[in-house]
Amino acid sequence: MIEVKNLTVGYSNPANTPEIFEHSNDYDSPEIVLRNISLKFESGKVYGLIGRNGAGKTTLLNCISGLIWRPSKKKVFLDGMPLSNGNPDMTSKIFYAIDTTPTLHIRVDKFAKKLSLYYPDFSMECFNECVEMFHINYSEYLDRLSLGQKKMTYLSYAFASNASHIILDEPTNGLDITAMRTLRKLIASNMTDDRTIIISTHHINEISSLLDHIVILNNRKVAFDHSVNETGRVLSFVEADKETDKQNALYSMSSAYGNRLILPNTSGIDSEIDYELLYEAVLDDSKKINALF
Amino acid sequence: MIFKERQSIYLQIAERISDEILAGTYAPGARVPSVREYAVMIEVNLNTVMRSYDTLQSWGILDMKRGLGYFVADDAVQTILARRREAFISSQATEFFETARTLGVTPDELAEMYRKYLKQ
Repeated sequence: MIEVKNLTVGYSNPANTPEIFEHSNDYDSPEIVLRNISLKFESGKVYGLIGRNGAGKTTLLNCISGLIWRPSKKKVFLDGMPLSNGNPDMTSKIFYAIDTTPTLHIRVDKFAKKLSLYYPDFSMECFNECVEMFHINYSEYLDRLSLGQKKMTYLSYAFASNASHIILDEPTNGLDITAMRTLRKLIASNMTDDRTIIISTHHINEISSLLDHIVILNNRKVAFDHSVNETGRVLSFVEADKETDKQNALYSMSSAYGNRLILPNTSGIDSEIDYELLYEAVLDDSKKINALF
Repeated sequence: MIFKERQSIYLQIAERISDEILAGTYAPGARVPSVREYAVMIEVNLNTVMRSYDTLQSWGILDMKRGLGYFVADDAVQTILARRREAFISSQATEFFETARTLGVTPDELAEMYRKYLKQ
């Protein structure tokens, strides 16, 4: 489990890199990238992290993975202990597949061997299965792979690492349709009760069937943080003609038939979430949506 | 009028498995795929499929045998058909009648249409 408590991140140093603040006197300052974020990522669950470009998704992932870290600022907790990026027992519990994967001139399988030194439970067998499913040649050099192939290789490393926390930043970028399906199968087959998977994405519909929990970041804050089950129980997502129920709708968006609406769910039957509609509704007025939970 | 209102994914999966039982893919008494196998096959979250199986168990369509997995209940087909009949009368038929009334289709016309349809 990863827990974030009152995390504020901003730019203040001459090097112009983001750092964790103790607190801020001015949360609206343009220096602030994340303002007072508190979140819990529990074991056995898949989290979807969505938000506009620049909403702070990658910065948040950088913090929970220990890439942005200050020993004196205890804001991120891994299994109850303050995260420390100097402690190999802790870093081996997290695999972070960053969005812009580093370009190294090293063979795909050789790099897996190197990673296995950092991840004691690294499984070469799992790695070979993954690269085979993605049709990656493991004797190829990492820097000769296309963007999509690089993504797939890093996803293979992630699952093979057997780390209990797998953090994927924009894993679907550059993947073709078949690779996307393989990714979904890998997540479904590698999920266990003691593993946490956090996925940030702009293409929410491509991975929505895998999610247990939705986190939406907006305006440097957490705008939505609810489980898929709860969301489908509280809200109802429907498509209706122009006149129906628009006055009761929490949010509406016009569509080919009339309108896509979010209504309070009074049917007693959980509704399938229309993620695009939910996202727009939360960006438009998160208070109105959250008031029902 | 609401055109489209889809039930949550776990309920859609429960209906899908019910369809497969009706189609004979999984016969009464037979073991169904494990939660993980089914999740990988349809590329869905494990907990979601778990919830579908739990739901089917509570409907009396699947039986869980500890350590062995999930099995199709002996009377699963009858249970599914009874559930579907109930759902048809309470929801689809109601919508159908509503449209018939709006368009001025009389009960006699409906009865005649249904008789003709059954003869086909």
